[in-house]
Amino acid sequence: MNHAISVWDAQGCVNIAHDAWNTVTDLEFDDYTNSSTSTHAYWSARTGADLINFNNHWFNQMSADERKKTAIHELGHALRFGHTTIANSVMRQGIIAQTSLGAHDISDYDSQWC
Amino acid sequence: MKTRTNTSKLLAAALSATLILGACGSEADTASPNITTIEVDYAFSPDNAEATLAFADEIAVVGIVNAGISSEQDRLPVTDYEAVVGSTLSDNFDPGATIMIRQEGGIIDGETFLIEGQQLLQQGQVYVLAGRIADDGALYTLPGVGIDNLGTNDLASPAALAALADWAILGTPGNGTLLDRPGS
Repeated sequence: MNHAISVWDAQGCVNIAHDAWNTVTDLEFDDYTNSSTSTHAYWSARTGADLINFNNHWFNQMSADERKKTAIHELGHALRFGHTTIANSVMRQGIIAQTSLGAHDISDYDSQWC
Repeated sequence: MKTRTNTSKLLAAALSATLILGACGSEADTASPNITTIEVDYAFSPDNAEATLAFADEIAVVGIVNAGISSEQDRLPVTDYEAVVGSTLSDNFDPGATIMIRQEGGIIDGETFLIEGQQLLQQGQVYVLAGRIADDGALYTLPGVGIDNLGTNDLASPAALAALADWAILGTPGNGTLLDRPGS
């Protein structure tokens, strides 16, 4: 997750920071293991903190760059970006090796948050 | 778990005892303002029938008997439905048997959680479902092409039999096989 946070933070308009005693938690991360589902990660808005949850059954089969892409992707959902099929976007579905934002991701971020 | 991989077995005896399910539909409260969409990332495209078949343990024609009971598993809303089996591709369940169907998404404390692009299964409807068999024996549905509402309450309808036959043409369930590395 650290890599994912740094990738989105680098865009400069939204500060993603660790929770502190004087802040309200907006987002939490968790992991689980379920071999019965094709879900390898999900983001859910919740009362209180949103949740990003990673399925270890799939993560254990993924490369480091595939894991990074998934983390960036899920954090993208937390930033309210939806799925896309646009080439090189981290918001594409699936297990894909990618460690940086695509041009479309940056454009969407600028439009949404800056 | 039986893993015979015969092609679709259309058991006339079971079909003659087709259960006509209750007409009391129970739809997810999609009209409610309290709907949360959960953004899910899948290991393979839910539109990929071959990948879905390979990963599935079973393809089954089932009729949903009840409105389902939702709970949280892995902090994800899931709904367990009671269902009657019509026919199957891999004989993991006996025709006429009552089984549990598990679907991601559900209604928790009056709030409806829907997996993006999915609708909750409906009581009284017949589906062809692709799924994995969970540790507790429930058929855990796979999304997308893995869920096909046949628009009938007849387990032995021509549509039901034809839908199962379509899966049989593609092959047999692969019991967790991945056609390619994740992502395909």
